[in-house]
Amino acid sequence: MQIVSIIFFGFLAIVFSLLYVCNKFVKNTDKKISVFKWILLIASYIFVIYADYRFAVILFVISFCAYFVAKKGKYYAIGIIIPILALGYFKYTNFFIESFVNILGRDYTLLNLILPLGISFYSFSAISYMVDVKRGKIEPRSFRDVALYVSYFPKITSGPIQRSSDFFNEVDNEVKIGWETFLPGIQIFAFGLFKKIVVADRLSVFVNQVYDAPLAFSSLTVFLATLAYSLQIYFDFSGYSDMAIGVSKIIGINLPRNFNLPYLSRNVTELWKRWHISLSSWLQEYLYISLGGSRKGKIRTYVNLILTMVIGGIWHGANWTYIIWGLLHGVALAVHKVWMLITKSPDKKHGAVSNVVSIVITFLFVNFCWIFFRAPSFDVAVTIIGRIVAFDAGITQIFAWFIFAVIVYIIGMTCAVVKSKREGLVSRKHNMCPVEGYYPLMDLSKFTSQVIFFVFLGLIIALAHTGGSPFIYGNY
Amino acid sequence: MVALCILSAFSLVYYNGPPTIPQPELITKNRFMPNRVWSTMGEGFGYGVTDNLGYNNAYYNNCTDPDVVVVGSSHMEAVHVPATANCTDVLNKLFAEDEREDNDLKCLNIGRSGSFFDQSASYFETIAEYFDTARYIVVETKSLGWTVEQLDGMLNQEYRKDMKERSLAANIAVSIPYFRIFAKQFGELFPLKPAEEPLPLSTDQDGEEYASKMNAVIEMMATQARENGKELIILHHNTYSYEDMENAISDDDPEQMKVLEESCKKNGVVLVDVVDDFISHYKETYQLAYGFANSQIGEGHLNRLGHSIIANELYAAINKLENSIN
Repeated sequence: MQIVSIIFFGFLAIVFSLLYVCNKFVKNTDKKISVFKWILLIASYIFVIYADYRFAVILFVISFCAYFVAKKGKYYAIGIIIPILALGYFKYTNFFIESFVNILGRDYTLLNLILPLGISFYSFSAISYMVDVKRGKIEPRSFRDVALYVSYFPKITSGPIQRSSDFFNEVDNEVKIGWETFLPGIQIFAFGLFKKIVVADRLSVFVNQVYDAPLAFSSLTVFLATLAYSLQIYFDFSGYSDMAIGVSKIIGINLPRNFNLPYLSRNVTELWKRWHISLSSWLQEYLYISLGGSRKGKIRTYVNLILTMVIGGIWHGANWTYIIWGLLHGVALAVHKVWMLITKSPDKKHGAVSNVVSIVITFLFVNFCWIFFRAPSFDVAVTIIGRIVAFDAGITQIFAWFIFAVIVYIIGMTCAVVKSKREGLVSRKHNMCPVEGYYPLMDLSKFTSQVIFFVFLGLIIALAHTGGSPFIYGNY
Repeated sequence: MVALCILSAFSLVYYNGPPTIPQPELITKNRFMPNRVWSTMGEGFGYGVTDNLGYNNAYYNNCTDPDVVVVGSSHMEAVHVPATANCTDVLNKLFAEDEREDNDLKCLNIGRSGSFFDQSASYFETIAEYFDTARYIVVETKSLGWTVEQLDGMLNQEYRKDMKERSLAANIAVSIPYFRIFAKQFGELFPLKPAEEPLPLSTDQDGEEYASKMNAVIEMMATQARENGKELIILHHNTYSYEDMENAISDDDPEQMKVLEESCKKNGVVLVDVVDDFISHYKETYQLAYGFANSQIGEGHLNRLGHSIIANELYAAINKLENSIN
């Protein structure tokens, strides 16, 4: 079920009510926590079964595999390979068939495969649990707890990929359900909803049309479409993350922040501390460090960075464009590492102009990389880039919702900058931006706040794009 | 309540289509409340005041004696452009500025959203009888694909959808601006049933039978017009696909277009087909006749350019007819 649907709202209302009743009437704390977990686990499986019961079977198998391996304390290699194999089979089989059989010049038939709901995300969750147990960071848990961690419904579709230790810290303690969780949760959800159905979906109209026929549009329009996509993917994915965080907050569980004003990054290293934070930290912890990290010399460090990002690119989808996207970011990270060594930029203070230039250059580089991410093929990506630098005439469209999205982003950024300055935030390194994003939560017990919130909800419905556009990261 | 007031104030600018009321003369399925300010910013940037009759006419507020009546769907209703920019009003301006004394024809737009060709055919006889002074009735159509059964339905005037009076509660609800956009958006975001589509394009069917039925519909309308001293003009427009700057192809089915052309020719009906004009204009200027800065480029409703081209083509066609009479 879609997170923006009447049926999901009804489902959430039922789950919330059950948890509330559990909270109110079950007196024994241990029993309360246990019932709480069972309700969430059953709800999570209902969520998956609603999409397709076969997805639940795969989810169960992977969850059981993670539980079994951690409990036994052995067969970790097999345990980690199983979710990777499952992911590889469902996501990449047709890609490999198509790519490599084409090289051999043979005919082929693609398999009729459907990507199980959330497999890209929960397979990573399962792997992180097993590795954390192996590394001694957490103790093996019961099957119920492992199954809940892997299947938890607010985050199963598109993350955030939460650390198992953080998740268990949340669910192992008594959770108060009520207005104190509902009111902030619904605000965060509304925030995400605005980003997704008002801003991101509107931008998708423009982006899709230009990417479908780039040769018909002027160079300026094509360039604006690439900028629009940078905003679209940010608002789409961070909007979804906000909704997941909001839903989880309503039922009393805190999920980690997944985006932190990424386009304020001064360099690509900082970008990956602000963009899809849960994925980048997973890749760092479980892939980059496992490959050796920066412990095996400079050259190996750069290779590990590039390899990690290429795998990160592949994770997004079965297309060469994702691999190129990952490769570009990997190379950029390696180059930036060298740059930091040579210039010692983390230790030097930078002026305002230098900071602004850094932010702009980083954004333009990220924007360039998004061309490959969005384009359906390498050829289309090259066409788009060629069109931009050709300075050619064509259909010229200054899309009104793009201006709107820019204004919204600037307002959000400005509020965060002002708040961060007031709080006297300082970054750990001089080449990182000392700005933290935040949710502008209001005290909804006050009349003015209620008016503002209901006006905001009303505007979301009035301005929503009704043409529909699937969550970008729901495809991964 | 405070929030509702603020949202309604916003809706007065963003989406303020006047409520619809029954049309007692039964010339269209319904009409707007007369003399009401309206605005639409969701697709395009349209604004104006409905006329005394309950339609979107700015040039003449109370045109009860039109020379030209323009009938059609939301493209002719034209709430996505300012009232003075819709094709009928541009046409009025062209006639008004015409130096010939006897060429000051008055045009009335009775286009209504959702009133596709099937409804136009079903209401046509009533329209032809009602407007005594009219000499021309322009019927707009975009899609050409109907099934033989649907064409039969037009011949039997089965597609009339006369509006019934609303209940008091419904009237109160539609009088609150925000409720109108809320109902529209909520229904589209969370549909309880699939949206009503216009008549679907025809599937594979007997080409000869389709041609025969289409000819019968055009003949019926032409006869109804002439019996009431009027001439029928069919206005056809459609979107076109473009891969690059050089090439654009009409989205029409060439066989169906041929049937329409032949039916009009056989019955002495003027066909004003603006698709080629749209494409020529695109190739010269890269401007498209559909779509707006806040919607899909080249899709959706006619924009100012589209309306302007249509007005000029209708002006030329009507002048030609006038000259042939004189």
